[in-house]
Amino acid sequence: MLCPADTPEGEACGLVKNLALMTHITTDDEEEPLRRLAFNLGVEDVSSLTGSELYQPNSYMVFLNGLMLGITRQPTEFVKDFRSLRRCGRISEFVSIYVNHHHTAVHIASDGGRVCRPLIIVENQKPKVTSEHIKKLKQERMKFADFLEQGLVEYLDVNEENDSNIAIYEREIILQTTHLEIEPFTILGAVAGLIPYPHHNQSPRNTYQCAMGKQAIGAIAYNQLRRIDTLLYLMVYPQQPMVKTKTIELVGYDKLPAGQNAIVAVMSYSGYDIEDALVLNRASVDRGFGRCQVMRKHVALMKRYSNGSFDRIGDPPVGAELQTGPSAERFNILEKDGIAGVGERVNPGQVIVNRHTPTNLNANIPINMPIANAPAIQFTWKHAPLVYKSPEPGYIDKVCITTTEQEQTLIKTLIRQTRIPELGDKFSSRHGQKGVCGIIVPQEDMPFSDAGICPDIIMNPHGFPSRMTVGKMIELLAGKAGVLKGELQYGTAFGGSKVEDMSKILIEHGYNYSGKDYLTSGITGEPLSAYIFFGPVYYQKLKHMVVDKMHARARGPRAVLTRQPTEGRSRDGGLRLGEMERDCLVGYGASMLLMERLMISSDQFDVHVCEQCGLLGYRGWCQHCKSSKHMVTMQMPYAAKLLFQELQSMNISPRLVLEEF
Amino acid sequence: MGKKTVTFADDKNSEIKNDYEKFKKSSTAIESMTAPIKNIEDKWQLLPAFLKVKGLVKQHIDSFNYFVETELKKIIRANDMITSDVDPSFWLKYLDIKIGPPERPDTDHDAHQNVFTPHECRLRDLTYSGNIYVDVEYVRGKTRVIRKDTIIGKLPIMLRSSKCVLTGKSDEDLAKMFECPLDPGGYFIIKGTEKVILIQEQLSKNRIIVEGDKKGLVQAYVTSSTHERKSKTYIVAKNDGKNDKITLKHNSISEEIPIVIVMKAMGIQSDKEIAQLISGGNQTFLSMFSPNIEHAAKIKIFTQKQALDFIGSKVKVTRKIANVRRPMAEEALEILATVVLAHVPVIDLNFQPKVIYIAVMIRRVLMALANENLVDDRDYVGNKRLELAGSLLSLLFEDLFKKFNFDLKLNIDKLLKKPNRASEFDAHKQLMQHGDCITNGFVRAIATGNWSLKRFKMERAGITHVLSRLSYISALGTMTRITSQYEKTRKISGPRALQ
Repeated sequence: MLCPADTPEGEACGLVKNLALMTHITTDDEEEPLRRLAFNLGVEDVSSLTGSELYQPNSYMVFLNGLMLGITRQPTEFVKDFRSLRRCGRISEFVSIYVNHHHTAVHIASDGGRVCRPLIIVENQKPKVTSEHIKKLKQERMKFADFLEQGLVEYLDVNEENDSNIAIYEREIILQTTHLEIEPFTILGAVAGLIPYPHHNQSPRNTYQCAMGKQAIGAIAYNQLRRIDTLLYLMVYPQQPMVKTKTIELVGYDKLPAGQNAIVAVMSYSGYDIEDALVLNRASVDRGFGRCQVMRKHVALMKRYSNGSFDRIGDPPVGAELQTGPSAERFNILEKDGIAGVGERVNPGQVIVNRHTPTNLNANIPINMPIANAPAIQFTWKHAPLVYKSPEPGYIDKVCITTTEQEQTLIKTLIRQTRIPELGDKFSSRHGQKGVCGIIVPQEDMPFSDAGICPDIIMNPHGFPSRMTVGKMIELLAGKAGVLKGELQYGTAFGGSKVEDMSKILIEHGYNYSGKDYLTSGITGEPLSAYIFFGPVYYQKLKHMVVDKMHARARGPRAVLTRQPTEGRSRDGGLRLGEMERDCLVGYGASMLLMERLMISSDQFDVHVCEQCGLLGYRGWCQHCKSSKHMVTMQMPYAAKLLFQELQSMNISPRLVLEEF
Repeated sequence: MGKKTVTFADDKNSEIKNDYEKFKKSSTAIESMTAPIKNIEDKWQLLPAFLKVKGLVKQHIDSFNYFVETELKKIIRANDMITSDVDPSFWLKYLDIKIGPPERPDTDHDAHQNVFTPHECRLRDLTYSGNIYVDVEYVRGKTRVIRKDTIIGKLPIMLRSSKCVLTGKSDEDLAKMFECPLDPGGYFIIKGTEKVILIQEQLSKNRIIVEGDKKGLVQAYVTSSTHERKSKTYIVAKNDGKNDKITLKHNSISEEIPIVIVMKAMGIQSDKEIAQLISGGNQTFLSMFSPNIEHAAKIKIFTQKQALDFIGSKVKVTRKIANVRRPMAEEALEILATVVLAHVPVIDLNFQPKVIYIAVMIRRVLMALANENLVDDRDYVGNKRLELAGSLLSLLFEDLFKKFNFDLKLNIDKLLKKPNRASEFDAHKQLMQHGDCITNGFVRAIATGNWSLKRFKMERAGITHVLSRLSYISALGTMTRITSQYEKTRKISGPRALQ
């Protein structure tokens, strides 16, 4: 019903859930026919009951959607009859009925919002669905609705499910069995269903993958290149995974994948791979491994104002106007219509849409003035261009000019950046094993196998023991077998290609059964002293990329109020020397450094202090003492000065006592 | 190669057939019992067949379809009459409602008749919505007029729902509309952004839930929910030794009322009958319950009249028009009939079903007092209901429609008050004028995710999310997500008790 793996970590853990693959949620259903049916099946009406009848040992109360209908003396027969009527389609397939022996009650539910799922009915220890039926299904002579109609399959909601005995496999059917599971892997949801061999992984790893699978860059939809979204990440060469699952095929992930099959060598290399860092092959990167495009939307709305004026697109400055001034370059990419041309390279600071807005928005121009007089009004305009602000250059991918509901012109431009993997970009396999790229090594320095295969990724084996992601190892094995045999393998949960079969395929093709290969070092040219676990693993590129996060500043903008450096990359902010870092410096005793970091480099301010009254003055004058006799200047953080003044404003007078130091 | 596989498959099938024949021949009773059950081959093929009709995001679409096709009509039927306080001969009645296909907002001067596609909405920052048409019957002058297909507003349309242009289209047609055939639908497009109404999880309505706390307090409560009313009724037992009365707690009554008094007020006057209803001859429950009966006798409440007076003195009178003051007993009777346990209908003051319902609740409390294991688990999925787009929209529509009708009535009254009108009064014009109220109500709610319904005192934020288009899977992931309603109020319990 609900996916056991897919829940976020941290705050909302266990409160946000996801539906499993085969669940359905009911809608409301008519009560009246059910009520009539219940009475026909021998329910005694409530209004004719007394206490003694209510609690007779073998009488069960009958509830319909929480409302008591009456009692029945043969609950088992009642429920059985009711179910058989449902199975032959006399009542809706989503009506559930179950017995609660603790409360001696039979509950019938037809209300909306119950989770339910289909199961195969088992009668006399035999599932009612046979291979014949499946054959007909394959030939499209039967549909799912037919299975319901013929009483082969039925929906059970949570309560009724608890009242049934459900066998997972045919061989487990015993006398009491009432239902048979359609497929055990449907316990997982659509997102967890992407993981190959999840039943071999430690369970938190599957949960981590569920969170990460949603951040993977890949294909979005077939219309992805026609969309203009605020932010769109697209992978340039996405591949469907070598090791699929049934879920992948069912949800269509093989058609819109988010990742690539990378040849992985599990070995240590160079020391740039500690703490889950990955070593990438430069040649693979050049061939397009992990390459992605980022499309960002920039919108300019041509507003109409209440006084009849409106925004306009100005011509790009021409001739002398363009030649003069240092900002000439800003308008380089504009075409004659004042909008940047498609295909142009946009550098930071360049104008995309040369918009002008009227200066006088309040001037009242009579609306119902004859049009002939209109040119008499002279609007003055000011520049309000749409400027490209991202620190990285991009290319104009698309320009869309349209109108909104309010008849205003809307100009959307889509700017594209192509990103090649670089140091610090985040990658992940499908087993919650994330890592950043630690180094990109030229192919000639990478190890290679006797078949001449070079890995795309080198992964440090220390990632395995503590994570216990055996599924990843099996994925590698199955992937390798699939590559050699030329077919895709399945890693479906509780099923999928067996390791034994995979090993057989490997042996048939002259490889070691365990997936280990003989590798030669690319640096020394000597054989590596161990066999290396080597094969394809599906890797996802995650949306966290270094270019979006990289940030440093020497000097820059300051906040107006405190005069301290601004915060955050988007505001070109400073890097904070925080409380704990401060504690370190205090503990070390580096007082000069502290002074420099916390005041001189931040918000140093010269204040004039009156030694007599201890209050702040201004330009050598103490307004409190009305004199300039005892004034001294000193430096303090602007924030401290601000604090003093704020305290004064609330009738607290902070006084400074100055001493010679 | 192809041939080879075919013959292979045939072999297999004939094998199965042979097996089947053999099985038929030798099917004596004992053998059939002991024979191992054969695996149904490719039984997973049922899954794609299932996913074609249900599952994945179809629940959103089903729910929306149900809302559009059934629920809307029910809401209209429940609020179909508008009358005027000024002119008693005037009335307006809604006969039918339907939702039109999605339409371009500026369609009148846009002569070309191509279809309005979701993709156009995304590109042009429009809302993908269709008109709400109603058929009305009303009085104009002295005649009765029926007007069909009057637009009262616009309803955002869920993609791939029965009203969406994409349903039933082939992949080719979809490609012509710039739509991806793999896109699951189930979301809305509001001002160009794709919005999903998340699945909301909440406790079941109209079910008895018994819970206990560490202090020995056991209570059974029911959240009654009908179209008119939502209320929560508690039956509380404090098991702290000295004060073991069982009481009824409800928002409309200022104090907790001893349960025996409630039962007496509902017309079960004899103590024996009460005892019988609760214990049914069981001695333990009888002895547990007897102090309650004793207490009622102690404060000298024996008859229905006395009990009603007792309750009536504690009823919170919230009615605004207090000009007609009714006797307290009457007030109490009405509250007991319609507000307390509102989902149990009381027809012609026949309290029998409600009394038995209360008796069952008391019984459940007593059982939980006797055996701690019999309290219900609130985190059990069987005690939960998932609310989907359809039911949330129907709540919203009901609220907006009532507001619409209220405004309409005010306006009609205002116009009818004018003594001499130039033209004959036509309510149809008024009907057309208020369209924005419903349209904007929907757009605002879905765009911000704030569901604020005055009628049910419902104030929920974060109902909708932007459909995350980071990857195909993340889009699917937002569609299957379920959020819990109890996040803030709940103490850390069940669902979070993970390692």
